Amino acid sequence: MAEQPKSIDEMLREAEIPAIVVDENGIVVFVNRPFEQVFGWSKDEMVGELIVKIIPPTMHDAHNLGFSRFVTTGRARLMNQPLRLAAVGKDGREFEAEHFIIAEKAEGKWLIGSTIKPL
Amino acid sequence: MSQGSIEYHIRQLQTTLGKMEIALDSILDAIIWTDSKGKIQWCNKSFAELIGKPAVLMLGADLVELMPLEREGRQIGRDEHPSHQTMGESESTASVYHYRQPDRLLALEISISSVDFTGSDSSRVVVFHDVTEQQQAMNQLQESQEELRISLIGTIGVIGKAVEARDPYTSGHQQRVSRLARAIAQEMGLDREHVEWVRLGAAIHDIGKIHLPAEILSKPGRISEMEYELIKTHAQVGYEILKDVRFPWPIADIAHQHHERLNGSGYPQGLKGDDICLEARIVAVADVIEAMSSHRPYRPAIGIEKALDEITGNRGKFYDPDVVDACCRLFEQGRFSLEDGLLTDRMHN
Repeated sequence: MAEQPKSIDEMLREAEIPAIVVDENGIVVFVNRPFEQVFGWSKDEMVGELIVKIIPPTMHDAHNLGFSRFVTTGRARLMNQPLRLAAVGKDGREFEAEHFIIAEKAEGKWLIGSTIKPL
Repeated sequence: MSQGSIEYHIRQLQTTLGKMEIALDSILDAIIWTDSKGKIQWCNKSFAELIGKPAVLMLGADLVELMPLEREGRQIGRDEHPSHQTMGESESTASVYHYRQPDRLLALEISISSVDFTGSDSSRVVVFHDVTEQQQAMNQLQESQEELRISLIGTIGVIGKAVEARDPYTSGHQQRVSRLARAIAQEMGLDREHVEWVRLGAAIHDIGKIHLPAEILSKPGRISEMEYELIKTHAQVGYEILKDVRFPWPIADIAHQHHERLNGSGYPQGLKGDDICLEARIVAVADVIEAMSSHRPYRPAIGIEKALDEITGNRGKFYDPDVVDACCRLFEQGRFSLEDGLLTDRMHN
């Protein structure tokens, strides 16, 4: 299923559902075209920014803790399962979306990617 | 700062946060953060286990809907829920609530701290500390204490009866003294616990008589000087019998001092005034009233009127003035009779 990609590579080739990939610092390295359309930010506005840009402020603590835990221990609670979480776009509007988060090591460093399908 | 050092610092922070989340997850108490509207921003593992759902489902969930709570047997409304109480900046409070799970009722001590950081929405940290077993242990302790108390009181009653069984002519004397002493103590405004141990001390105040020959106790005629001295020893003997028992109340002193008189003319120690404990002063008056109002093997009843004259006549000299006054009030207002006891009970039971 496209919403549940099995690899970062798949995510990079995803053409229908918004997808985003970040490095282990939480910095965006890739967004696809559907992402630009749904969220309103262009590729240039996203790459190099922190992932928290698209996370509602009220969820920042949970994100910071969970993300840090993952990159330091390799264990995560939120991966490889469909998750209903809020996301926020350029217009500041929050919307519910189904996320599917996966992670892979590339050249010894983590890449974390998520599909984000608005509900 | 170079990109490399920014990344280095990010990594440092991530490590610290990673450790912190692991630390929080290892705590048995359930911990959550909520925003000012009571929506859960983060929860630790223990909280997820408490609710019985995966942690990820808690994010953004409404605490009140997720966790209905009870207090004093009824469900509390949104306003009373911990996450919704109005709190000042950086304030914290703690209270116990009940949380009903399918198979049991938990008692949780919930403490809330509010945190206000500049530039972001205020958050609350809510900690749930399970005190169910503590509460159960407390309840059980109270129950067994109450049972022990009942046994103790029953045992004292039995001792009182054993004393009286030897002396049929004055059978019931201790009981009647005990009833009157209790009524006097109540009339004087002593608290419930205090009144109770005046009653109990009075119920066995003559325990020392158990060592006296039955013939002397119920001798119909006059007794000799020697016999009188022997009888007087019952106060000291009673004290010796009782003093080594750790009663919660000083019962031994009542047995010891109930024949003491304010001016020091009493026995066995010749104590004066405040050296005589209040409880013994009460029993002393009740004892005199009962003795004079009842038949004895050696003389018929003298009568309640003469008995009251005795205590009012020697008020302040032998007998405590407040005790005398309280006793007189009971009889003058017709609220007490030796046969029937207190006619109306003033204390709430």
